[in-house]
Amino acid sequence: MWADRYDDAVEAALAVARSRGLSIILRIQELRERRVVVVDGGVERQRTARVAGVGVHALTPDGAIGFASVDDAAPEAVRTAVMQAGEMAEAARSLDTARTQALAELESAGRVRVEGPTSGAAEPGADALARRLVEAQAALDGVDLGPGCTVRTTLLAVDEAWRIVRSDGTDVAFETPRASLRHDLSGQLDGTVARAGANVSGIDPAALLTDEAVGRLTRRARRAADDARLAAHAPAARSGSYRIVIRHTLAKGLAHEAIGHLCESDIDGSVLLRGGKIRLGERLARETVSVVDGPLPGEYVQQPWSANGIERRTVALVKDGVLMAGLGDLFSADLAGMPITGACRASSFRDRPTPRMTNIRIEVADASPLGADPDDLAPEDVMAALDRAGLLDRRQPTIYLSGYRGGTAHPRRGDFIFGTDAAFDLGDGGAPRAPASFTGLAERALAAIVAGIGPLCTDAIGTCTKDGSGVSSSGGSHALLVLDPDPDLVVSAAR
Amino acid sequence: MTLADALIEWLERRPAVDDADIVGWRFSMAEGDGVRAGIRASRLGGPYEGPGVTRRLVGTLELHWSDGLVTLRGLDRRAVVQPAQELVELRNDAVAPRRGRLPPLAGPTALPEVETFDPAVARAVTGDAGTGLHTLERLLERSRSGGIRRVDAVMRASRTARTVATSRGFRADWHDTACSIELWGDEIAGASYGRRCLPTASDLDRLAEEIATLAPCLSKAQDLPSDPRGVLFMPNVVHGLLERLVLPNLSGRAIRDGRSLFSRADLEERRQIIRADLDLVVDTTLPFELASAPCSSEGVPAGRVALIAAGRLASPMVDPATAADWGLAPTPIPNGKPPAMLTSALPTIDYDEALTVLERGVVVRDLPGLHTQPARRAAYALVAPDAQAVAGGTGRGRCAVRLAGGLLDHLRQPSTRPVHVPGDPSVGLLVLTGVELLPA
Repeated sequence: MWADRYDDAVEAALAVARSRGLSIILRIQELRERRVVVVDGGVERQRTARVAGVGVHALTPDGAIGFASVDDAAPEAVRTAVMQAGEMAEAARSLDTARTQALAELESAGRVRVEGPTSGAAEPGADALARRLVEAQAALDGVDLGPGCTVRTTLLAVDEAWRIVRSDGTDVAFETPRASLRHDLSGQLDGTVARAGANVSGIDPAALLTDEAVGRLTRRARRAADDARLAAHAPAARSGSYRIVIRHTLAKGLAHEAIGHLCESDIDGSVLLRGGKIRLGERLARETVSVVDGPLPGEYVQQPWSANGIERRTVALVKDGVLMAGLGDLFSADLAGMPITGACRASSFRDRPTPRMTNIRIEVADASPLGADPDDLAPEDVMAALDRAGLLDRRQPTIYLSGYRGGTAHPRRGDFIFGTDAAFDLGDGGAPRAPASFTGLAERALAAIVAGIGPLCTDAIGTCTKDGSGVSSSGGSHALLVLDPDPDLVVSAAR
Repeated sequence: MTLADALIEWLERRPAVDDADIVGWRFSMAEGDGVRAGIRASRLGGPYEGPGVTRRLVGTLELHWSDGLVTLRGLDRRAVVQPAQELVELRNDAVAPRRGRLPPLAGPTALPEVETFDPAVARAVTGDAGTGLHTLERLLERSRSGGIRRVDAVMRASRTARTVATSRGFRADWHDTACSIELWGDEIAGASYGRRCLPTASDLDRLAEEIATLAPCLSKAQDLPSDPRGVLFMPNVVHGLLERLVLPNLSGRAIRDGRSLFSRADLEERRQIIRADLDLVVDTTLPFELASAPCSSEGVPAGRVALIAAGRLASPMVDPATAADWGLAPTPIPNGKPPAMLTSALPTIDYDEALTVLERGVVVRDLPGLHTQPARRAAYALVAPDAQAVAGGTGRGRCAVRLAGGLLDHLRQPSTRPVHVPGDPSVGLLVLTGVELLPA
């Protein structure tokens, strides 16, 4: 197995740690990333990057902590890194720094080798990949985003593997591959720049280049382009509270930014903590609503073990509307009043790991049928689905938000903002509105969820940049999620 | 022999795979060390913010093959130390360039002198392991003595040796340093420092004083004054607005691909887009600024270029490949702050005067979610949860507001005023017309 290549480095690290009376967590990472960008039928960029390195957390017997990392996994370099981490821990020890005994209280997980979740199919060469991307673009023929429409197609393929070793004998190795294929379209419609995007994702780039996956991407991109074209010259929605209908992509943003981060054990001032402890047992949503975090087989974010060598648990943060769990890591779970769930992740061996989500999704127990293809949902399909579910009230202002543009939330304030490419006023026959922002308070948003419509769609992806460290994230909800009006949930747009 | 010398020596042997050999190349390499430490909940160090060191080599290698294909590869230490072992994989990564044209390579040229290295930062990185901790300890003491109950901070410092070289004889070697501090008081008031030199004692005092002054104000909630007159955007928010809503529209590639508000014809006509007294300038020669370097990673010399001059489009930001497509000279591209500087031919007003002119409104120091806004509309609709109310021309308590507007529209309004803020080389903006403001 790949991890065995580093046996000498591991032995060297453990020997230095023993000789200096240190406890260590050693993180060895191998990463290979390929990004191919095709613009309008030509290769704009094909870049590969590879890195292998080691990060060390070193703890003195009284719990002072130092850290070191090096992009060289040779035994001599690793030995030096452990010594440097030890010196840093000693420097910290000489001052009134924070201490922890959490590592000393942990049981060894022993030796664990997790089989990689890859399909085993060989990745095509760069030229073959580029040709396939050009073909994928050709499938968008006829998409109308005005004259000069540009299509940018990006394939990202990442092979990533970790070996986590602790002084207590834990030695865990696992792989976290991922891949995504994305179209970004932009064009000029009577002087207004319209843009639309869509993607498919998984663990295996070859699987994203099959006819089936490319067909799915094409349907999603055509729909996004149609929505963006309609919104290009539409008036701005009046700023205010509405019944809001969101797609699974925005729901992933809501679940991740506005719920998941608030449940992370290191966020000591989160609004979902009181007196530093998570508010377990409090009702946050209707009893049909649950929020679950954990990797799903074959999906974009895989992390079976944590960056501290603890098995990751899938947890229902909110179960049947009640806050039932947090995302706890070794160093802060106890302080936050939650069990360790193996939630900590790191983007790189250079990072200090913190509790992070993997695939987070909002599930509604009594979701209604959609009656349409989730990858090709026109505003009129959304209206019909709402009508069938008894949720379309023509007297009730209802806004459907399409095309997720990212977002952010502040755990200590509990507020969030998300951007969208288009909006449709379903109370006005689905009339298009300009790109809009959705802002509000996380707890109000959770409480406002009244319905899910359609199948669970959990393949929305993103990059979480907590503390400046970018890790992959994914998730979703049912194809549509419906939120009731609330004064603290507002749709607005620049006029 | 340095790692860069060894890589050049290998490349100059024109390594070959099958029938193709390397006929041109470019690389940028950065090798260095960094330190980081922090304060969390008024405690130095700990599992997330303990002192740490890191050693890294990063960069980019571009290879031109004799059959017209191109390889672009991120450099890592293994690839630099043992490039021959990577050769087959490098060849497998080769693709035909867009429109069949090889990217241009920089030739020998004179580079300006740019101050990028502070020996004091270098000593802090490679010397005493506790230097960063002691700086943070001082910051913690000063913040606490200013009345702050909870202090959070992160300090980073680095020293890096850089090389940019091409097969056409371009080579630049230089050292740089960087130091940044982010400081938060009582989880509500923030201040930051980021330059290529160590902060002075007065810089540290300024940071501590800033949060000590602001935190007590922002800890009290205040209603948005009735009939608000406008917004004072502080310099870092102006940077953010420019970075998100203007600079992407001035990228040559975006203009070429139709992803910009502006067209090539707009550039050629030097279309007026903002007020005639305003310039938007990129400058990568400013002493000790993070944006500064003697050249870019593609060998474009440092310099100062006006993207907007006298309110008119003057130049796009163009990399060498786009510049070659258009028959233009490539422009310097900053790699850090300031991304671009807004300057005015009219006198600026100072912060206190700006509050007096504003009379009723808000000061915005942080605008979360700016990255979600459509760059190609240059418009925004956001919430500033930690804005500061201004009433009677004086800064008051925290006042969450919804605000919406268009940045180019703001810069066209005669009432918009650039504002000088002590300790900041960039300007803030007082906007009195065209910004919608509502309580949040």
